[in-house]
Amino acid sequence: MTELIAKGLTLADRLVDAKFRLSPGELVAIVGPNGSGKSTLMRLLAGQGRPNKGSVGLDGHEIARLSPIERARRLAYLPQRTEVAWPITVADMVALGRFAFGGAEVVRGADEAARWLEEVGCAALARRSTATLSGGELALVALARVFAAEAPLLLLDEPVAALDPRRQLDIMTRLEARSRAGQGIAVVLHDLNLAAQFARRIIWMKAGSIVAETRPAASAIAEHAADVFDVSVRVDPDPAGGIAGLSVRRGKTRE
Amino acid sequence: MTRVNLLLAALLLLTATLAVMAGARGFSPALLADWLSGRDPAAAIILFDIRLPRILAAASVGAALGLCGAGLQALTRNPLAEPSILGVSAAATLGATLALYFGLAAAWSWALPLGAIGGAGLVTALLASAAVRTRGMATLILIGVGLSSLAGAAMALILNFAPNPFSLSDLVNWTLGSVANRSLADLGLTLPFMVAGAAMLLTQRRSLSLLAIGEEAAGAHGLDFRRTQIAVVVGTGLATGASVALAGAVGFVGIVAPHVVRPWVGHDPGRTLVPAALAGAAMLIIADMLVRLLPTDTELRLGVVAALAGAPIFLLIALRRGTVRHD
Repeated sequence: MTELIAKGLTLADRLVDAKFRLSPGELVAIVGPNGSGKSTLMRLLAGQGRPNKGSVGLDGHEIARLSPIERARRLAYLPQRTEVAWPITVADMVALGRFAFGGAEVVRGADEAARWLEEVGCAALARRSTATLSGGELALVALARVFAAEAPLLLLDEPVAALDPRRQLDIMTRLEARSRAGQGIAVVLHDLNLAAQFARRIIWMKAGSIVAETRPAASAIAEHAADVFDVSVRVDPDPAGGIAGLSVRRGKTRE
Repeated sequence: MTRVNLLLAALLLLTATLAVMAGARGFSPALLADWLSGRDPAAAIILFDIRLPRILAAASVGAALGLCGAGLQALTRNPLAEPSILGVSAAATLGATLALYFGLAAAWSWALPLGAIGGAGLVTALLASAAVRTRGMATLILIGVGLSSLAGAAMALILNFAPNPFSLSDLVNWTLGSVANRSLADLGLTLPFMVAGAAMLLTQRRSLSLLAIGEEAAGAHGLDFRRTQIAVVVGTGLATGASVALAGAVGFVGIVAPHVVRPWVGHDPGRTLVPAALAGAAMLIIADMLVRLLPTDTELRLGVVAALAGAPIFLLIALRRGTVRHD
């Protein structure tokens, strides 16, 4: 069973003593203000760059000791910014997600790209050049590429930030389904609504530290949103027991 | 992809056959017929001692430069990267000129190729270390321009101190680039380095394809960026250095050849490598054929023809790129 465990992660003045754990079958949201260290945490968890202190263990191995291929087979990471240097086709870009499994897999991946593009609702784009895509479409194709790696663990840095509301819900639903099917997924979100509706755990970050880790319960969200973002949150409970929606306002929660 | 390679290989063979038939008096298959029938013993000498080494030299230099251009472009993710733009060729020329100037080349036949390869390797290593530190590719190209000027200035210094007009013209001729009067022995001395460099570049084909999505994402998908960078840089240094040692400075093949073939392979940077090498070889054979066929009093230099044809294409690519995106 692949598991990611990080302890005492510290990087210069961007991240302080962060503790993190991701197991198969769970969907974890990481929230926090801009510059609070979410992306730094994700990057270090993905084995990109070395922390000043602390360790990241993947499957019981120190992540820096694993070869890039061994790491990529266990853990797929979507950086916040999507780059494509050449106008390659969408299908070819998705197929690059198969890199860690060998050249033949990449070639086959180009034919099977439709499968992963389907998941992000972009099957129609397969033959298009990546140079002609909109920002949101490009973000979706990059997500399909990360899906194509079929790694047991996924680290996604703001996968839905560029998407329209409907697409955001579709993608979060896909992530939820994938976590139910056994993948462990950590996702950075800015939308507290999505975090409250889909995540099983919410990790709250502020000024380079993880300040809390909670269930997506109404009281916990109201309390930590006030602390971390300096906003007041009103939670509409769902009759079924979950959360129907949030409304967010300036200022501390009064109640 | 293989179909593109087959097509280009056929084209290469065709141009080589034409080049074998091309002489001072235009195209003529007569010489080939003479050799085949064994009527004229001079035919074999002209074909195998004069034309063939020259064609092979043009082909191997073209292939090496096309491949290096495609490799550097994939590594830097910039369609304008190329050994001569980035100062690699200038440094190799400087290394070779130093070997000539100090008489090392006359004393030891390996001095010239090693000098060229050393110069090329040094600049490629500097560029690679700069590439790691700077994000913007514009910076890298500017550094290349700076290094190129520096190597040019050192060249000027050497020309300035040339002991006599004869050695001056020797040195100048070297910098113009040519494959005239090359022997199979010259080829044997430099070809192993080109092959070694090309092999290093070709091992990175898949990694260079992956690099299209940027260093961070590629690293997340299992790319060992350091290894790729070292292989491409050392491979480029070896192959460019060796081709400068054989033919002097020949520019722009490395930029035009990959640019021409890229649309045929879906713009995949890894799949561009082999077609770029084949196209580069065919282009230089054709350029050298022009050099031989054009009725000029003094023989035109291959490097001059390549630059005259290549520089406008470089400008065209730069201008077109400018209208699409600014990054």
